[in-house]
Amino acid sequence: MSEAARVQESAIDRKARVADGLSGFLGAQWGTGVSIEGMVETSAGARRGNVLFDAVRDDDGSRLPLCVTYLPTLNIELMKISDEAALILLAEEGGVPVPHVHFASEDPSWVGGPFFISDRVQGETVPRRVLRQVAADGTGHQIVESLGRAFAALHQIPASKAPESLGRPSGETPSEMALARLAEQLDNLLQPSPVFNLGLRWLVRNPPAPPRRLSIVHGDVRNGNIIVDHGGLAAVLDWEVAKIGDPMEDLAWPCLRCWRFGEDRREVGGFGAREGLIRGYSEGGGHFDAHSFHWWKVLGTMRWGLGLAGQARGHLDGTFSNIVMAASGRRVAEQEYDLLCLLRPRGH
Amino acid sequence: MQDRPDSRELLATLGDYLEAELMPALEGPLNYRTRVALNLCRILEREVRLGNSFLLRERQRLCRLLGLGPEDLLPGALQDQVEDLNQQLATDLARDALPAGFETSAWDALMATTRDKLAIVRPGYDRYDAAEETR
Repeated sequence: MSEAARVQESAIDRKARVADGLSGFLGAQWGTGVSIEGMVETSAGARRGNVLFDAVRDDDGSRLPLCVTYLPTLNIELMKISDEAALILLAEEGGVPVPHVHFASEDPSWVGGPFFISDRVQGETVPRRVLRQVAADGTGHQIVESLGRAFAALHQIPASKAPESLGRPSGETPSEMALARLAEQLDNLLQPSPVFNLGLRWLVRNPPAPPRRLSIVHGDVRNGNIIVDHGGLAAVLDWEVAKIGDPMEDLAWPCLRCWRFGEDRREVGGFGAREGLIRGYSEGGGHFDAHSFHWWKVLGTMRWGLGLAGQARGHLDGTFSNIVMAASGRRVAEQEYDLLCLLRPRGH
Repeated sequence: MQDRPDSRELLATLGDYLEAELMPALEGPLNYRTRVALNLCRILEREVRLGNSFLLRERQRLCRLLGLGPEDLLPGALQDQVEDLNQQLATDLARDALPAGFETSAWDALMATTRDKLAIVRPGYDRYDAAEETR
């Protein structure tokens, strides 16, 4: 059987298994027969599977647009699914736009892995389509401010309320913790990258002030992990890398050039300028720190470059081989260039 | 010597085949992966054309920066020499104390080399300069 045929077939098997499991699980919860219709597996997430579907109840015929998020295999579990679900509910309570979570289960027998079921929020998630829609609707600046407000809401939730399993610094500052991880990634490169050594040198010598307080940090808010509708920002998705850390890490991440998808002059995700993000964040009660923001942007640019190099390594050593991972190796230079731009010597 | 088409011509042909004949027949993930393959063909085409002269320039920049002459180079292939020089620079940049002005000279050399790399893997990417966003 060809690779393509194998991939296709296993996708069909998985879909059927998920449909059966959802029907059984929701039927038991609601005490009525439930049919699962219009299933669409979305491309997002090597770490999580996502399937959009309609649940139709036998008793009253009502139709609910839902989404199931599950762990496709039991390998790299970043965060327990039930913790992720609890975190999303906590964020919702704090005023962050998220899909409402209805159920979470660690029982792998339903859909092949732990899962949670949430509302399906209507809107666009594919980055370039998002940017086209935003350009047509003229909602870019509004989205930037909404992101600022969403971050402010998230960062004001007391970190003590977060699930205990969330990663967090122990003794060191969040920036020290991130630097240690980065140095490790740098050691794993297949070939020397003096550009990244220059980057590490700058990061080590220009540390940010420790945050006023540690916050819940989503860790991956960017164009691609949000839902945008005609009114603007509809929901923040993909919470599985959340942790306790420095709020400025969250604000800097969507501002990396790699998340602007060609709209380079609009710093925040290709949507608009930084000022709107700061305004939304401040109005929402957050404290913006310009140096820390810049530091996390430099760190993020380097982290993404090293991540791409890691994908190429995974391809070459056979851990995860495919042409996309191979091509990632030749995208490292983009991050090296952006890093050098951010580190341009003063007056140079 | 091999007969025509030469490597560059073959890569161009391979790319054109993927783009004009294969991709229109494919959908979804296979279309996407084939687009990635096409992009890799285009990268290799440019690398066959420009790669060697860019490596020579990179070696020259690194030697100047590190104060090395031709006698200091490892015997062997150009690519291995450049990798060794990059390793030396990486090690230097990890030291605490550096001579005055070294970081700026290193930045200049690395920026020039990175622009060369982009001319092969992503032409035009360096038209935007993120330095405008700093501080």
